[in-house]
Amino acid sequence: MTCKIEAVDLWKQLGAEQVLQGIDLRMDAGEILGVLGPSGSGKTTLIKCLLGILSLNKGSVKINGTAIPNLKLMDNIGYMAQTDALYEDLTGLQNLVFFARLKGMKRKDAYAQACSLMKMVELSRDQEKKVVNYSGGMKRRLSLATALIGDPGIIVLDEPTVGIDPLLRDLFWQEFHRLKACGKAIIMTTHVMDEAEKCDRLILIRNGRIIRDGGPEQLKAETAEGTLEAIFIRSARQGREGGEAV
Amino acid sequence: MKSLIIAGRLIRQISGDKRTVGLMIVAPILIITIIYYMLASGVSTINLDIVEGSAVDHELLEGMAAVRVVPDEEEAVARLEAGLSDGYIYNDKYVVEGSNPGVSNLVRKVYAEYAMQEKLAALPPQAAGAAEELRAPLPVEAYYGGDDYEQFDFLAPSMMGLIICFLIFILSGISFLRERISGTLERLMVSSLRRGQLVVGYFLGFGVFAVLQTVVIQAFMIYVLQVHTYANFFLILLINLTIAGTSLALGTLLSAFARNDFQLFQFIPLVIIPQALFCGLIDMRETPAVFQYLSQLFPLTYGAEALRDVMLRGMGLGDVLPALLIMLGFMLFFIALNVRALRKYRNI
Ligand SMILES: Nc1ncnc2c1ncn2[C@@H]1O[C@H](COP(=O)(O)OP(=O)(O)OP(=O)(O)O)[C@@H](O)[C@H]1O
Ligand SMILES: [Mg+2]
Repeated sequence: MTCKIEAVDLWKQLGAEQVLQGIDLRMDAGEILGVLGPSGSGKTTLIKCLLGILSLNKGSVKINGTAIPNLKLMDNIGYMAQTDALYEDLTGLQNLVFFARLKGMKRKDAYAQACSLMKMVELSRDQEKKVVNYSGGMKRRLSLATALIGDPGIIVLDEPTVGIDPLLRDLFWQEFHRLKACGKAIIMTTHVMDEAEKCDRLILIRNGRIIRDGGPEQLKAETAEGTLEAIFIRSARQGREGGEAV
Repeated sequence: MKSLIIAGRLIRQISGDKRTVGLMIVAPILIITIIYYMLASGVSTINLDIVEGSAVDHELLEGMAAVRVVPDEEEAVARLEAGLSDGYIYNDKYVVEGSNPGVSNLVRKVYAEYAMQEKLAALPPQAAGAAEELRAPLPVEAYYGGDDYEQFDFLAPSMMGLIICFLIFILSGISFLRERISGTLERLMVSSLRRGQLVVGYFLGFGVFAVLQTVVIQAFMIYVLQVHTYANFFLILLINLTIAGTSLALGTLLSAFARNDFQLFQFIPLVIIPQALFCGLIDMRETPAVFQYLSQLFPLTYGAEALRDVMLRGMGLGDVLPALLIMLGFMLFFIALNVRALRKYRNI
């Protein structure tokens, strides 16, 4: 299945602040899109607006050509929030099964897939433990698993690898590439530059606008230093000093 | 179907939390038991001192109060101030402690009764007989209930309604609030779950516990404390569940206006305390009209009245149907507002 996201002129005000100021974004299936930007630049807000769980002041989002929010489409989206968004008084497995059932899976299928995902995020041994007793990294892993349950065509991950050790992170990236190969569209925000390099395409957000858009190699070639870090730091600094886009 | 999934999750969550289940079941029983004994052991005998040498018929007075003779007025005053007596008699002077109107009234009644008895005793024998006859109590019939009804019997229905209303409000409110704070609500919205289905799911999930709690409270009151009631168990259950429903709708709605648990608790003085004051525990008949109108804005007013009608006056479903419908109206109104408030998360 091919999934396309098309966002046109997104504006969102939160409190007194214009967090999104006219974002345009197109994305094809089989692509991993990295969203970069300084803290507070509006990455989470953008993601929520794309998913339709935060209403827009202006602009529109279409997924597969259908305007969102659309109930049918929702089941085809996997979302990993920046906060863990788990039921702490349930076990890890119960959390997964619940979200699977919510997406319309049968009890048996839900259970089977939950177990295999638990294995993937290496939580099999702890799957009967209540989430309150999970460590920070374990919660992140479970949260990732809940985003992948139900085999969604569009996977949206808000800082998926925070608090995950390098070994597991590597494992996750293998999984992301496998999913990509299956034709899924993956959007993720990140603050980790060597992770950003593994994305197919990056957008850099500042002050509610996209100031850079392109493949990692292409962006690196645009600076003298030749690193993503340099681009990031320069544009973030300019943002703080109120300067215009580079 | 989706509502059932939500409900199932809530039931799993709550039943896994021993303390919450304990609170729902044990707390009401504890509160009711305390109130039961507090009300049963109010003041019934008063303590009177008589200063030595006062011309008082001790024997007559002893039938009405716990009497003690003190040597002089100073001693009587000292005992009064120390809270050891409720009043004293010194010659023609009748004194009452006076700070607690309820106790004062009892003391005044004793004085009046004593004065009357003394006057009767002073009458000539023939007249005394006639006077005794005049004082014979009228036979009074209780239209509802009976002579053995106690204060607790009257308060029990309102109390039952209030406790259910309060506990369900807090539990469902916090539960829904956590859903908002933890971000799970947003995650629920990234699925084909409708907002209405979510609210219905909460009703089903908490409904199970509301039934459990109501049955326990009812059974405890009726079968253990033996509250006098026309025990129409299922009608009482129906009313209590309607009260629980309005409370649940209100709790989940107000959680939309709270950023944390503490802010949710701040709604208690606004929506729970008025309901406690207006639900019939205190008689509203002679309060200013404005309070009486105000009381009609709160669902428990109708619920508690319906409970009293059924439990104390033996009325049936037909009689309390209007009250039930009004509460249903409140409930649907709160639900509609809540489903609307959820548009913040997804506008379909
Ligand atoms: N509910 C809200 N009310 C008011 N302002 C908000 C609200 N949520 C976010 N903001 C503001 O919107 C801006 C963007 O927030 P957002 O969470 O999208 O940033 P972010 O790029 O995800 O940051 P981070 O990398 O730290 O996660 C911030 O300046 C924040 O203060
Ligand atoms: Mg963020």
